[in-house]
Amino acid sequence: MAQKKTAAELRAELRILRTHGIGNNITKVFRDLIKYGCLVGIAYFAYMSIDSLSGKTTQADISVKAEGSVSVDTSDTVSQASVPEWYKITLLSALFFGGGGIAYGRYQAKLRKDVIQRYHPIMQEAEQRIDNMRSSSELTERGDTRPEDT
Amino acid sequence: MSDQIFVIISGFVFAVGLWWLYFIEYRTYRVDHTRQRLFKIRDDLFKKAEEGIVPFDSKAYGIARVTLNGMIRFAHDLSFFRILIILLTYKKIDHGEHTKRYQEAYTQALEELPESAQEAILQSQLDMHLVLIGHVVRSSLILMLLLEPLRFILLILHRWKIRQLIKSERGRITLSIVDAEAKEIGDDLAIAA
Repeated sequence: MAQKKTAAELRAELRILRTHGIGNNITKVFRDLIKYGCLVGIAYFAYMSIDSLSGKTTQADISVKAEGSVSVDTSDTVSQASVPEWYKITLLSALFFGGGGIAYGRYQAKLRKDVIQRYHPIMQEAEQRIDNMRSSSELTERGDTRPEDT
Repeated sequence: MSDQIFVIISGFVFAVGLWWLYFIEYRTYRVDHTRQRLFKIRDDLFKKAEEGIVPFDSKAYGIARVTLNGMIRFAHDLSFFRILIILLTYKKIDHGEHTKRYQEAYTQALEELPESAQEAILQSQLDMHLVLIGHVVRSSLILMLLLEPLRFILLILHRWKIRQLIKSERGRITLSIVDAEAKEIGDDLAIAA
């Protein structure tokens, strides 16, 4: 690929690389807006839930107390509103298995990257011997995106 | 009260967990997956060159490899929105002359090769385009939800023509706009190395 290029070609290449950089930055802003916007949305809904719950629960407490003074059956009213045990167990199990799954996936990815790192120089040398003009993607030795590209 | 708070907190944790799973873990996985598939295409092409089907010093091999290198390098930036920007802006640069030059150089380089070598290079280009489209569709939640069921239906109806569409002259030319940019990055890498 090391052939002489005209000034016009080089100028066009420079424009392409510059546009690539601008395009990348626009995409990153757009992507981050969606990514962190979702996180803000989740936090907002959680806040709204707690906010609305605090007022309503106070009212419920009062009504239970008022009912309690008239009826003996208040314990039933309270127990109906509570979260069942099976729900809590299911939820905690889901968190455990979900978190465990992510951790397992991460560990597997790490093992794969360890292998890439170990065999990368051997592969590179073998290919270089066959094709001395061999070009590279210039990723890191572990096959990750270069820090300056992110 | 504590039970309701428990439900809210657990709901919040699940929502954040899903967010993490999609935006961090899944996206990282998709980039890694795409890169591995592109590495495989590059390795297959290298193997064909080693077997003598494609000459290592041919211009077409150089372009194909450099384009693949650029694609591998900027796989983490590939998305539907990014491709849209490339397709919308390429005419602003040099009135699309650069892409035309890339297409002409590639066609000319291919013509210099025997048929078996041409086939090998074109196969690697087709595979690269399929990987690119697969990555773009599966990286976007909306596109995935819209297009994956459609793909499944088409697959059932035996009308699966996307491969032919990408292989067609028109499909190849459209996607070579992205290739031209990828090659430029690959060239840049070769100069820097």
